[in-house]
Amino acid sequence: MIALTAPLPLRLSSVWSGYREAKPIPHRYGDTAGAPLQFNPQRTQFVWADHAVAGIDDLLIDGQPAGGWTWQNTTDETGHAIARIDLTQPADEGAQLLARGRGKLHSATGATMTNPADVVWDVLANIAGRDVTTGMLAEFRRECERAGLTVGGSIEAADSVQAIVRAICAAVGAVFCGPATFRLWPGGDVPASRASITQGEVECTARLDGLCNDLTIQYAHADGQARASLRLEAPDSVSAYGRRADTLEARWLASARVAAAVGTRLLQHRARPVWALRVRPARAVAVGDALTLAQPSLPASGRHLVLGITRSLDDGTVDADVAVAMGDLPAVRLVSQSTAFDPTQYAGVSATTQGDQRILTLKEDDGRPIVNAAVTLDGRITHYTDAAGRVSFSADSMPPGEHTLVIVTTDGRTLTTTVLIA
Amino acid sequence: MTWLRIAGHPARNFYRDARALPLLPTGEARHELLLSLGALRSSAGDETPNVTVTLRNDDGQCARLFAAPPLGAPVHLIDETGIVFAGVVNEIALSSAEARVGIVA
Repeated sequence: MIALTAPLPLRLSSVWSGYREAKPIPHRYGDTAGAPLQFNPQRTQFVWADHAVAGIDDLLIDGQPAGGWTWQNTTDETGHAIARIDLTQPADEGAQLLARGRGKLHSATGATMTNPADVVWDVLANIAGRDVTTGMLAEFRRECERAGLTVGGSIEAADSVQAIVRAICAAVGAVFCGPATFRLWPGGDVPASRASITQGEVECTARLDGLCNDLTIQYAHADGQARASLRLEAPDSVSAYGRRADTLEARWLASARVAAAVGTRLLQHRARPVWALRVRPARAVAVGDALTLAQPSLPASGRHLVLGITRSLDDGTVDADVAVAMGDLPAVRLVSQSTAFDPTQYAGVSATTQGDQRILTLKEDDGRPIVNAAVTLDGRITHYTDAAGRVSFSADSMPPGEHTLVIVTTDGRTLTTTVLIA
Repeated sequence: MTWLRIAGHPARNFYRDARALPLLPTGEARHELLLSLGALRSSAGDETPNVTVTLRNDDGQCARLFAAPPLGAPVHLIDETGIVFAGVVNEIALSSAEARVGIVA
């Protein structure tokens, strides 16, 4: 087992006889993209991941789709599983390769690991060798599943175990509370209360600086660069407190749907005044436990997650930190989204006019509706399709003429099309 | 005889003792909780002019008044001559005895 603060022990490409330079061999999860590493001196074989993967779907060389390549899950000369790309022609010296695909498979289920709980388990247990079982993370796994949270990303540098796990948590609005305790926060389930605060010293602080009502989430990273972003705002909070913008670099988010869901949950908390409270419970609590605030002199009450503890080494007292957002959940709306992905041309849209609304219906090639897709009209307005694949825009925003639609599907595809309104 | 006025619904005036009462706006909430006004800080650097006002909270009065913390609310420090300092609430810190209201211009 290695310490949380120690670098994650990734294998280096120097274990291969044909390596070019010693680099960590990446681990990849979910939908992700990254540069493969040279595997043989002839530059015809490259390794995308230090494990078997679900698939490699695209290969770009110097930004252009490559022809004449295959991929396979195989082993290297040490017998270690790798995902390898084979080119029919050697790649030019200095050529930049970028592969997109679907990452690591779960060792027990064989499914692609996209649940955040599965990914942190793999990092902690299988790569870092820490004593963490899937059972310990079962509750977090269920919570992520209920919330529809998935991750996709790559570990390409030997950052600390803690930094990697916290980055995964930050991307989905979760907190890493202890050796194997994770909670969705803010806005997740709060466990049963371990203690009540009814009296004693308290410290409470609310700061305007901490308020955020305009959040940009950068996601879908490839080779360290965000390829997509979306911006959300809480309009009522903007009116009340002025615009307070922040950016979340979510390296572990691959889909617009998840980015919007996480951003909404974060803004519903951060767009309100938040009391940061430090209280002293009568019995021991740990980070990730819950406390019930029931002290009249506190500005907040109810059951809340313990986000931090401070234990005095002099007298053994423990102070617990909680954060409570005050007021009603604010409405959150999508302001814009953008993507740098190479969009796929799409022709499955039909448009009708009903009253003052343009109704667009989006279907897959096989006729199934494209559900819950984010549709951005002329780069200005984004609405989501319903269960029938329909989305509407006002006739004012869609006057007669040609309009561009950028469609981001729940499985991460970006489609573009034009619609002619007569 | 300086007092603190925090705008809102209702607007609240925090004063030190009864001598201030004749000066306070009528029809607004009044609270005899002002302990000290602190020092007004300003500099030629990038520090925004600011002051911290301390209120009594020994019975949890401020915890109740500020349950929804009035962050961003317009604030005035006022005396007999008029407005001494105008700003917004930037921070509120509560302890068992005191409430400190951080105000920035």
